[in-house]
Amino acid sequence: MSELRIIGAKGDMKVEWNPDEVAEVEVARKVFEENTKKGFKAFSIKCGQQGKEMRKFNRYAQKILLIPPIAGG
Amino acid sequence: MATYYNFTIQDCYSDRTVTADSTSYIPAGNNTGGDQTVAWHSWTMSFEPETDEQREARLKQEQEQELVIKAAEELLKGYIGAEAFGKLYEVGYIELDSQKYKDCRYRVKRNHNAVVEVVNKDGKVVDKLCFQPAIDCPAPDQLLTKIVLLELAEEFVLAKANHHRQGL
Repeated sequence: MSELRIIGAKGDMKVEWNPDEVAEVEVARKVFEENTKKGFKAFSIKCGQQGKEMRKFNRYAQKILLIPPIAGG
Repeated sequence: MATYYNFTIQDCYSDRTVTADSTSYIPAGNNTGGDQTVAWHSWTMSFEPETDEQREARLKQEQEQELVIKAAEELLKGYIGAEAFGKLYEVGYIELDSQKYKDCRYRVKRNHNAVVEVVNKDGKVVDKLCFQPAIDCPAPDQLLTKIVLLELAEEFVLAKANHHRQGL
């Protein structure tokens, strides 16, 4: 199972999907796109490897982290 | 003629409401209109006792908040690793390599409100970066946001953050 974690005001939300299940993939894709449109940055995270910024949803990503927009303090 | 004021104070920790009213006052200065300074000799305060329902709701909210913090800590620990997580809580900060500042490291403090310090190889702070998530999220999530962005989107952070350069 792949997972998407979205950092939010009430902690993080988790969406899991099986890359072979079209309906699950579409739910994850929708959440990904909705949040990136709001300014969240997406990163593909692999255990023991350097993560990478993602511009588009990849159904085969193992773990995606959506980070909220930032502001200078 | 004495003027009495009633006011309420919200207890920021338990959300209890405190009501108070003035019992006496001293008009200061020349009170011929305009702003008037009022000083109270004393005032009476009373706590409105929580009802059972309010207490239950408060405890439930506190428990939910604890779970949220715990989950956020686990997510942070999963990303930075148990060793760095331990250091963050024991020493109070962790350091990350910088690609953009030559021979410098970012010092991210556990206090999520603190600035991120840019420290050179001699241990001198050369810049301070002030940035935070634009949403109000739990403290460990705020730290995770800073760490992930500094590691994977450093240029973006440097463009967005307010810089407080030291000794330049």
